[in-house]
Amino acid sequence: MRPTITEQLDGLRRILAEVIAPEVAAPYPAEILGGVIGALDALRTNWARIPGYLEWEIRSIRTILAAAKVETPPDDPRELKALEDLQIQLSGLLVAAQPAIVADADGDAYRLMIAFFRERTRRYPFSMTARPPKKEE
Amino acid sequence: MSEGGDIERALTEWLAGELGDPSLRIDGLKRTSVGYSRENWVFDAAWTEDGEMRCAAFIARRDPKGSVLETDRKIEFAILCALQDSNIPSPRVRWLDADGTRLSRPTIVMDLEPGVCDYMVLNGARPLERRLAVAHQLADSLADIHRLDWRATRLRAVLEDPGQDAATVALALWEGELRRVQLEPEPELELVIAWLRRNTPKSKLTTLVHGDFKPGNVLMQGDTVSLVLDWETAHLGDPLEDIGWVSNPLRAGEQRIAGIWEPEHMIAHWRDRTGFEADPKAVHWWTVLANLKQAMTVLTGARAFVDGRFDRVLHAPVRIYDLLLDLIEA
Repeated sequence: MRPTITEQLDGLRRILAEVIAPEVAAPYPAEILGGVIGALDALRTNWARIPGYLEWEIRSIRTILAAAKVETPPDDPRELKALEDLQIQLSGLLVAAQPAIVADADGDAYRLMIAFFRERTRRYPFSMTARPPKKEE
Repeated sequence: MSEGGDIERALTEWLAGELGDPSLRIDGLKRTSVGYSRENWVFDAAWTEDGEMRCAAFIARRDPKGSVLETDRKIEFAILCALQDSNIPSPRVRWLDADGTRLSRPTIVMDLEPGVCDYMVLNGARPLERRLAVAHQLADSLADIHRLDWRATRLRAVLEDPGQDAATVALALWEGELRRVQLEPEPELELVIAWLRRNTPKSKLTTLVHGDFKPGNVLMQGDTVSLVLDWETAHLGDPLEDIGWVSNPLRAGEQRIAGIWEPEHMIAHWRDRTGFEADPKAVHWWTVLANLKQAMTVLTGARAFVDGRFDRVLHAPVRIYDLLLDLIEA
Protein backbone atom coordinates (compact mmCIF):
# COMPACT_ATOMS: atom_id res chain seq x y z
CA MET A 1 0.00 0.00 0.00
CA ARG A 2 1.81 3.14 -1.20
CA PRO A 3 2.34 5.71 0.03
CA THR A 4 2.92 3.75 3.21
CA ILE A 5 2.08 5.20 6.61
CA THR A 6 5.72 6.15 7.06
CA GLU A 7 5.81 7.81 3.63
CA GLN A 8 2.62 9.75 4.38
CA LEU A 9 3.90 10.98 7.73
CA ASP A 10 7.21 11.86 6.13
CA GLY A 11 5.49 13.82 3.37
CA LEU A 12 3.17 15.68 5.75
CA ARG A 13 6.12 16.62 7.91
CA ARG A 14 8.04 17.90 4.86
CA ILE A 15 5.10 20.04 3.71
CA LEU A 16 4.78 21.65 7.12
CA ALA A 17 8.53 22.22 7.44
CA GLU A 18 9.25 23.42 3.91
CA VAL A 19 6.00 25.03 2.71
CA ILE A 20 4.20 26.30 5.81
CA ALA A 21 6.89 27.02 8.42
CA PRO A 22 8.83 29.65 6.40
CA GLU A 23 5.62 31.71 6.15
CA VAL A 24 4.82 31.64 9.87
CA ALA A 25 6.38 34.64 11.60
CA ALA A 26 4.38 35.13 14.82
CA PRO A 27 6.28 33.57 17.76
CA TYR A 28 3.52 31.43 19.29
CA PRO A 29 2.25 29.78 16.06
CA ALA A 30 5.87 29.27 14.93
CA GLU A 31 6.73 27.47 18.17
CA ILE A 32 3.59 25.33 18.05
CA LEU A 33 4.28 24.43 14.41
CA GLY A 34 7.81 23.36 15.39
CA GLY A 35 6.26 21.06 18.00
CA VAL A 36 3.83 19.59 15.45
CA ILE A 37 6.68 18.85 13.04
CA GLY A 38 8.64 17.24 15.87
CA ALA A 39 5.63 15.13 16.85
CA LEU A 40 5.19 13.95 13.25
CA ASP A 41 8.88 13.03 13.23
CA ALA A 42 8.41 10.96 16.39
CA LEU A 43 5.31 9.26 14.94
CA ARG A 44 7.08 8.45 11.67
CA THR A 45 10.00 6.92 13.55
CA ASN A 46 8.02 4.97 16.15
CA TRP A 47 4.54 4.08 14.92
CA ALA A 48 5.55 0.65 13.60
CA ARG A 49 6.91 -0.34 17.04
CA ILE A 50 3.64 0.38 18.86
CA PRO A 51 1.84 -3.00 18.34
CA GLY A 52 4.95 -4.91 19.48
CA TYR A 53 5.30 -2.62 22.47
CA LEU A 54 1.65 -3.13 23.51
CA GLU A 55 2.02 -6.91 23.12
CA TRP A 56 5.07 -6.80 25.41
CA GLU A 57 3.15 -4.76 28.04
CA ILE A 58 0.22 -7.19 27.88
CA ARG A 59 2.49 -10.23 28.26
CA SER A 60 4.38 -8.62 31.15
CA ILE A 61 1.29 -7.61 33.11
CA ARG A 62 -0.24 -11.04 32.58
CA THR A 63 2.90 -12.58 34.11
CA ILE A 64 2.76 -10.25 37.14
CA LEU A 65 -0.94 -10.89 37.69
CA ALA A 66 -0.44 -14.65 37.35
CA ALA A 67 2.23 -14.45 40.08
CA ALA A 68 -0.28 -12.49 42.18
CA LYS A 69 -2.93 -15.13 41.45
CA VAL A 70 -5.21 -12.64 39.67
CA GLU A 71 -7.22 -13.94 36.72
CA THR A 72 -6.89 -12.10 33.42
CA PRO A 73 -9.04 -12.08 30.27
CA PRO A 74 -7.99 -14.80 27.82
CA ASP A 75 -8.06 -12.61 24.66
CA ASP A 76 -5.04 -12.45 22.43
CA PRO A 77 -5.93 -9.66 20.00
CA ARG A 78 -4.03 -8.74 16.83
CA GLU A 79 -5.85 -5.55 15.84
CA LEU A 80 -4.35 -2.31 17.22
CA LYS A 81 -7.46 -0.88 18.90
CA ALA A 82 -8.10 -4.20 20.68
CA LEU A 83 -4.47 -4.25 21.85
CA GLU A 84 -4.83 -0.72 23.23
CA ASP A 85 -8.05 -1.65 25.05
CA LEU A 86 -6.59 -4.83 26.55
CA GLN A 87 -3.45 -3.03 27.71
CA ILE A 88 -5.60 -0.46 29.56
CA GLN A 89 -7.80 -3.19 31.03
CA LEU A 90 -4.77 -5.12 32.33
CA SER A 91 -3.15 -1.95 33.72
CA GLY A 92 -6.35 -1.37 35.67
CA LEU A 93 -6.21 -4.91 37.04
CA LEU A 94 -2.57 -4.30 38.05
CA VAL A 95 -3.56 -1.12 39.94
CA ALA A 96 -6.36 -3.01 41.71
CA ALA A 97 -3.99 -5.84 42.68
CA GLN A 98 -1.20 -3.49 43.78
CA PRO A 99 -2.00 -3.26 47.53
CA ALA A 100 -1.77 -7.07 47.83
CA ILE A 101 1.36 -7.19 45.66
CA VAL A 102 3.07 -4.45 47.74
CA ALA A 103 2.07 -6.18 50.99
CA ASP A 104 4.31 -9.09 49.94
CA ALA A 105 7.40 -7.06 48.97
CA ASP A 106 9.57 -10.21 48.94
CA GLY A 107 7.21 -12.04 46.59
CA ASP A 108 7.62 -12.77 42.87
CA ALA A 109 4.74 -10.51 41.86
CA TYR A 110 6.38 -7.45 43.48
CA ARG A 111 9.77 -8.22 41.92
CA LEU A 112 8.18 -8.74 38.49
CA MET A 113 6.14 -5.53 38.80
CA ILE A 114 9.16 -3.34 39.61
CA ALA A 115 11.18 -5.00 36.83
CA PHE A 116 8.28 -4.29 34.45
CA PHE A 117 8.15 -0.61 35.47
CA ARG A 118 11.90 -0.24 34.93
CA GLU A 119 11.82 -2.01 31.56
CA ARG A 120 8.82 0.09 30.50
CA THR A 121 10.93 3.25 30.80
CA ARG A 122 13.50 1.73 28.47
CA ARG A 123 10.98 0.47 25.91
CA TYR A 124 8.41 3.29 25.86
CA PRO A 125 8.14 4.36 22.19
CA PHE A 126 7.76 8.11 22.76
CA SER A 127 9.63 10.73 24.72
CA MET A 128 7.61 13.07 26.93
CA THR A 129 7.72 16.03 24.53
CA ALA A 130 8.43 16.03 20.83
CA ARG A 131 11.46 18.12 19.90
CA PRO A 132 11.00 20.67 17.12
CA PRO A 133 13.52 20.37 14.28
CA LYS A 134 16.80 22.24 14.68
CA LYS A 135 16.82 25.56 12.87
CA GLU A 136 19.18 25.71 9.94
CA GLU A 137 21.66 28.62 9.98
CA MET B 1 -13.04 35.26 21.09
CA SER B 2 -10.40 34.74 18.41
CA GLU B 3 -6.71 35.56 18.73
CA GLY B 4 -5.24 38.97 17.95
CA GLY B 5 -7.80 41.54 16.76
CA ASP B 6 -10.60 40.64 19.18
CA ILE B 7 -8.22 40.57 22.11
CA GLU B 8 -6.81 43.96 21.14
CA ARG B 9 -10.32 45.45 20.97
CA ALA B 10 -11.35 43.90 24.29
CA LEU B 11 -8.14 44.96 26.04
CA THR B 12 -8.48 48.51 24.70
CA GLU B 13 -12.04 48.79 26.00
CA TRP B 14 -11.09 47.27 29.38
CA LEU B 15 -8.03 49.48 29.99
CA ALA B 16 -9.79 52.60 28.69
CA GLY B 17 -12.36 52.07 31.44
CA GLU B 18 -9.76 51.34 34.11
CA LEU B 19 -7.60 54.34 33.20
CA GLY B 20 -10.48 56.70 32.47
CA ASP B 21 -9.46 57.56 28.91
CA PRO B 22 -11.83 56.50 26.11
CA SER B 23 -9.12 57.30 23.54
CA LEU B 24 -6.56 54.90 25.09
CA ARG B 25 -4.54 53.13 22.38
CA ILE B 26 -2.85 49.72 22.38
CA ASP B 27 0.15 48.94 20.17
CA GLY B 28 2.34 45.93 19.44
CA LEU B 29 0.06 43.29 20.95
CA LYS B 30 1.54 39.83 20.54
CA ARG B 31 1.29 36.46 22.20
CA THR B 32 4.70 35.32 23.39
CA SER B 33 5.76 31.70 23.13
CA VAL B 34 6.99 31.68 26.73
CA GLY B 35 5.12 29.57 29.27
CA TYR B 36 3.16 26.32 29.12
CA SER B 37 0.47 27.23 31.61
CA ARG B 38 -0.92 30.70 30.73
CA GLU B 39 -1.32 32.74 27.55
CA ASN B 40 1.02 35.72 27.83
CA TRP B 41 0.10 38.78 25.72
CA VAL B 42 2.52 41.72 25.76
CA PHE B 43 1.60 45.21 24.56
CA ASP B 44 2.13 48.95 24.99
CA ALA B 45 -0.69 51.25 26.06
CA ALA B 46 -0.84 55.03 25.57
CA TRP B 47 -3.40 57.18 27.40
CA THR B 48 -3.98 60.64 28.85
CA GLU B 49 -4.08 61.11 32.61
CA ASP B 50 -4.44 64.48 34.34
CA GLY B 51 -3.88 66.15 30.98
CA GLU B 52 -0.57 64.35 30.43
CA MET B 53 0.26 61.67 27.87
CA ARG B 54 1.31 58.38 29.50
CA CYS B 55 2.74 55.25 27.97
CA ALA B 56 3.51 51.90 29.60
CA ALA B 57 4.24 48.29 28.68
CA PHE B 58 1.94 45.62 30.10
CA ILE B 59 1.52 41.86 30.06
CA ALA B 60 -1.90 40.19 30.13
CA ARG B 61 -1.83 36.65 31.51
CA ARG B 62 -4.96 34.91 30.31
CA ASP B 63 -6.15 31.40 31.18
CA PRO B 64 -5.75 29.16 28.14
CA LYS B 65 -8.45 26.70 27.07
CA GLY B 66 -6.19 23.98 28.45
CA SER B 67 -2.69 23.75 29.83
CA VAL B 68 -0.32 21.75 32.02
CA LEU B 69 -1.68 23.42 35.14
CA GLU B 70 -5.10 24.61 36.26
CA THR B 71 -4.96 27.43 38.78
CA ASP B 72 -7.11 30.36 39.91
CA ARG B 73 -6.36 33.90 38.68
CA LYS B 74 -8.32 35.41 41.61
CA ILE B 75 -5.91 33.82 44.09
CA GLU B 76 -2.82 34.72 42.06
CA PHE B 77 -4.03 38.32 41.88
CA ALA B 78 -4.68 38.46 45.63
CA ILE B 79 -1.23 37.02 46.38
CA LEU B 80 0.49 39.52 44.09
CA CYS B 81 -1.49 42.40 45.67
CA ALA B 82 -0.43 41.23 49.13
CA LEU B 83 3.22 41.03 48.05
CA GLN B 84 3.27 44.65 46.83
CA ASP B 85 3.92 45.82 50.40
CA SER B 86 6.62 43.23 51.10
CA ASN B 87 10.38 43.05 50.45
CA ILE B 88 9.82 40.27 47.89
CA PRO B 89 10.37 41.59 44.37
CA SER B 90 7.19 40.58 42.54
CA PRO B 91 5.34 41.83 39.45
CA ARG B 92 3.13 44.89 39.91
CA VAL B 93 -0.42 43.78 39.17
CA ARG B 94 -2.92 46.24 37.72
CA TRP B 95 -6.27 44.66 36.93
CA LEU B 96 -8.12 41.37 37.23
CA ASP B 97 -10.85 39.95 34.99
CA ALA B 98 -11.78 37.15 37.39
CA ASP B 99 -14.67 35.61 35.47
CA GLY B 100 -13.59 36.27 31.89
CA THR B 101 -16.11 39.07 31.27
CA ARG B 102 -13.48 41.12 29.45
CA LEU B 103 -11.36 38.60 27.53
CA SER B 104 -13.66 35.54 27.61
CA ARG B 105 -11.32 33.80 30.05
CA PRO B 106 -9.90 34.93 33.42
CA THR B 107 -7.00 37.35 32.94
CA ILE B 108 -4.58 39.42 35.00
CA VAL B 109 -2.90 42.52 33.60
CA MET B 110 0.42 43.49 35.15
CA ASP B 111 3.32 45.79 34.37
CA LEU B 112 5.79 44.34 31.88
CA GLU B 113 8.99 44.55 33.90
CA PRO B 114 12.49 44.91 32.45
CA GLY B 115 14.87 41.99 32.73
CA VAL B 116 15.89 38.72 31.17
CA CYS B 117 14.47 35.28 31.93
CA ASP B 118 17.29 32.72 31.62
CA TYR B 119 16.37 29.30 32.95
CA MET B 120 19.98 28.11 32.56
CA VAL B 121 21.53 31.11 34.31
CA LEU B 122 23.31 28.90 36.87
CA ASN B 123 25.04 26.92 34.13
CA GLY B 124 25.37 29.54 31.41
CA ALA B 125 28.30 31.59 30.11
CA ARG B 126 29.01 33.65 33.26
CA PRO B 127 32.20 32.85 35.18
CA LEU B 128 31.72 30.44 38.06
CA GLU B 129 31.92 32.99 40.91
CA ARG B 130 29.22 35.15 39.30
CA ARG B 131 26.97 32.13 38.79
CA LEU B 132 27.43 31.16 42.42
CA ALA B 133 26.53 34.71 43.45
CA VAL B 134 23.31 34.40 41.41
CA ALA B 135 22.59 31.06 43.12
CA HIS B 136 22.97 32.78 46.51
CA GLN B 137 20.56 35.53 45.45
CA LEU B 138 18.04 32.94 44.33
CA ALA B 139 18.33 31.16 47.67
CA ASP B 140 17.97 34.50 49.48
CA SER B 141 14.81 35.28 47.52
CA LEU B 142 13.33 31.91 48.39
CA ALA B 143 14.28 32.33 52.05
CA ASP B 144 12.67 35.80 52.06
CA ILE B 145 9.43 34.30 50.72
CA HIS B 146 9.49 31.86 53.63
CA ARG B 147 10.36 34.59 56.15
CA LEU B 148 7.46 36.77 55.07
CA ASP B 149 5.13 37.46 58.00
CA TRP B 150 2.08 36.34 56.04
CA ARG B 151 -0.20 36.70 59.04
CA ALA B 152 0.42 40.45 58.89
CA THR B 153 -0.60 40.64 55.21
CA ARG B 154 -3.80 40.27 53.22
CA LEU B 155 -2.75 36.70 52.40
CA ARG B 156 -4.49 35.58 55.54
CA ALA B 157 -7.84 36.45 53.99
CA VAL B 158 -7.36 34.51 50.74
CA LEU B 159 -5.21 31.49 51.61
CA GLU B 160 -5.94 28.64 53.95
CA ASP B 161 -3.37 27.59 56.54
CA PRO B 162 -3.09 23.78 56.43
CA GLY B 163 -1.16 23.81 59.72
CA GLN B 164 0.84 20.69 60.48
CA ASP B 165 -1.13 18.75 57.82
CA ALA B 166 0.43 20.60 54.87
CA ALA B 167 1.85 17.36 53.43
CA THR B 168 -1.49 15.53 53.73
CA VAL B 169 -3.30 18.43 52.06
CA ALA B 170 -0.71 18.65 49.25
CA LEU B 171 -0.88 14.91 48.60
CA ALA B 172 -4.69 14.99 48.49
CA LEU B 173 -4.56 17.90 46.04
CA TRP B 174 -2.21 16.13 43.59
CA GLU B 175 -3.90 12.76 43.94
CA GLY B 176 -7.16 14.55 43.15
CA GLU B 177 -5.53 16.05 40.07
CA LEU B 178 -4.46 12.56 38.95
CA ARG B 179 -8.01 11.22 39.31
CA ARG B 180 -9.35 14.22 37.39
CA VAL B 181 -7.05 14.09 34.38
CA GLN B 182 -5.70 10.56 33.95
CA LEU B 183 -6.35 9.02 30.54
CA GLU B 184 -5.41 5.50 31.62
CA PRO B 185 -4.41 3.58 34.77
CA GLU B 186 -1.05 4.79 36.14
CA PRO B 187 0.38 1.88 38.18
CA GLU B 188 3.75 3.57 38.83
CA LEU B 189 2.09 6.68 40.25
CA GLU B 190 -0.27 4.56 42.38
CA LEU B 191 2.80 2.91 43.93
CA VAL B 192 4.33 6.33 44.61
CA ILE B 193 1.12 7.74 46.10
CA ALA B 194 0.86 4.75 48.44
CA TRP B 195 4.48 5.40 49.54
CA LEU B 196 3.75 9.10 50.09
CA ARG B 197 0.69 8.19 52.16
CA ARG B 198 2.69 5.79 54.35
CA ASN B 199 5.45 8.34 54.98
CA THR B 200 3.60 11.68 55.28
CA PRO B 201 5.48 14.10 57.56
CA LYS B 202 3.94 16.64 59.92
CA SER B 203 4.86 20.27 59.28
CA LYS B 204 6.66 22.32 61.88
CA LEU B 205 5.61 25.71 60.54
CA THR B 206 3.44 27.41 57.92
CA THR B 207 4.91 29.90 55.47
CA LEU B 208 4.12 31.27 52.06
CA VAL B 209 5.25 28.63 49.53
CA HIS B 210 6.06 29.72 45.97
CA GLY B 211 5.38 26.28 44.50
CA ASP B 212 7.48 26.61 41.32
CA PHE B 213 10.66 28.40 42.35
CA LYS B 214 13.41 28.07 39.73
CA PRO B 215 15.86 30.19 37.74
CA GLY B 216 13.38 30.21 34.84
CA ASN B 217 10.84 31.97 37.05
CA VAL B 218 12.89 35.04 37.91
CA LEU B 219 13.96 38.08 35.90
CA MET B 220 17.61 39.09 35.87
CA GLN B 221 19.00 42.58 35.33
CA GLY B 222 22.70 42.05 34.78
CA ASP B 223 23.77 39.71 37.56
CA THR B 224 20.94 40.77 39.86
CA VAL B 225 17.77 38.80 40.50
CA SER B 226 15.27 41.63 40.08
CA LEU B 227 11.87 39.92 40.16
CA VAL B 228 10.28 36.62 41.19
CA LEU B 229 7.66 35.54 38.64
CA ASP B 230 4.91 32.93 38.23
CA TRP B 231 3.04 32.93 41.50
CA GLU B 232 0.15 30.87 40.19
CA THR B 233 0.84 27.86 42.43
CA ALA B 234 1.75 29.91 45.53
CA HIS B 235 -0.04 28.88 48.71
CA LEU B 236 0.40 28.55 52.45
CA GLY B 237 2.16 25.37 53.48
CA ASP B 238 5.41 23.80 54.57
CA PRO B 239 8.50 25.70 53.34
CA LEU B 240 10.18 22.33 52.81
CA GLU B 241 7.88 21.92 49.80
CA ASP B 242 9.96 24.60 48.03
CA ILE B 243 13.20 23.04 49.33
CA GLY B 244 12.17 19.66 47.92
CA TRP B 245 11.35 21.42 44.63
CA VAL B 246 14.68 23.25 44.23
CA SER B 247 16.74 20.23 45.27
CA ASN B 248 14.89 17.87 42.91
CA PRO B 249 17.45 15.79 40.93
CA LEU B 250 15.17 16.02 37.88
CA ARG B 251 15.93 19.75 37.60
CA ALA B 252 19.62 19.51 38.57
CA GLY B 253 20.69 21.10 35.28
CA GLU B 254 18.78 24.28 36.12
CA GLN B 255 18.96 24.43 39.90
CA ARG B 256 22.47 23.18 40.74
CA ILE B 257 26.10 24.04 39.97
CA ALA B 258 27.99 20.75 40.05
CA GLY B 259 30.13 20.40 43.14
CA ILE B 260 29.54 23.85 44.64
CA TRP B 261 25.78 24.42 44.65
CA GLU B 262 24.27 21.07 45.51
CA PRO B 263 21.20 20.44 47.71
CA GLU B 264 23.33 20.43 50.89
CA HIS B 265 24.64 23.93 50.02
CA MET B 266 21.15 25.20 49.21
CA ILE B 267 19.73 23.87 52.47
CA ALA B 268 22.62 25.25 54.57
CA HIS B 269 22.23 28.68 52.93
CA TRP B 270 18.48 28.63 53.46
CA ARG B 271 18.87 27.51 57.09
CA ASP B 272 21.32 30.34 57.80
CA ARG B 273 19.03 32.98 56.33
CA THR B 274 15.74 31.74 57.77
CA GLY B 275 16.80 30.11 61.02
CA PHE B 276 14.43 27.23 60.12
CA GLU B 277 15.38 23.56 60.29
CA ALA B 278 15.15 21.13 57.37
CA ASP B 279 14.53 17.56 58.49
CA PRO B 280 16.22 15.42 55.77
CA LYS B 281 13.43 12.81 55.79
CA ALA B 282 10.80 15.50 55.30
CA VAL B 283 12.83 17.16 52.51
CA HIS B 284 13.07 13.77 50.82
CA TRP B 285 9.28 13.32 51.07
CA TRP B 286 8.74 16.72 49.46
CA THR B 287 11.24 15.83 46.71
CA VAL B 288 9.16 12.76 45.92
CA LEU B 289 6.03 14.94 45.87
CA ALA B 290 7.86 17.43 43.60
CA ASN B 291 8.27 14.68 41.03
CA LEU B 292 4.66 13.61 41.38
CA LYS B 293 3.75 17.25 40.64
CA GLN B 294 6.09 17.27 37.63
CA ALA B 295 4.49 14.09 36.32
CA MET B 296 1.03 15.56 36.92
CA THR B 297 1.77 18.65 34.82
CA VAL B 298 2.61 16.35 31.90
CA LEU B 299 -0.52 14.23 32.39
CA THR B 300 -2.65 17.39 32.71
CA GLY B 301 -1.21 18.63 29.41
CA ALA B 302 -1.80 15.23 27.76
CA ARG B 303 -5.45 15.27 28.88
CA ALA B 304 -5.92 18.84 27.61
CA PHE B 305 -4.34 17.85 24.26
CA VAL B 306 -6.69 14.87 23.86
CA ASP B 307 -9.64 17.12 24.79
CA GLY B 308 -8.58 19.62 22.08
CA ARG B 309 -7.68 22.37 24.58
CA PHE B 310 -3.87 22.36 24.40
CA ASP B 311 -1.57 22.79 21.40
CA ARG B 312 1.32 20.49 22.36
CA VAL B 313 1.52 16.68 22.29
CA LEU B 314 2.72 15.24 25.60
CA HIS B 315 3.40 11.57 26.32
CA ALA B 316 3.62 9.57 29.56
CA PRO B 317 6.58 10.92 31.59
CA VAL B 318 8.14 7.48 32.06
CA ARG B 319 11.57 8.92 32.90
CA ILE B 320 10.02 10.78 35.84
CA TYR B 321 8.39 7.48 36.89
CA ASP B 322 11.82 5.85 36.83
CA LEU B 323 13.28 8.61 39.02
CA LEU B 324 10.32 8.28 41.39
CA LEU B 325 11.01 4.54 41.73
CA ASP B 326 14.64 5.39 42.61
CA LEU B 327 13.50 7.92 45.19
CA ILE B 328 11.11 5.54 46.94
CA GLU B 329 13.73 2.77 46.61
CA ALA B 330 11.36 0.40 44.84
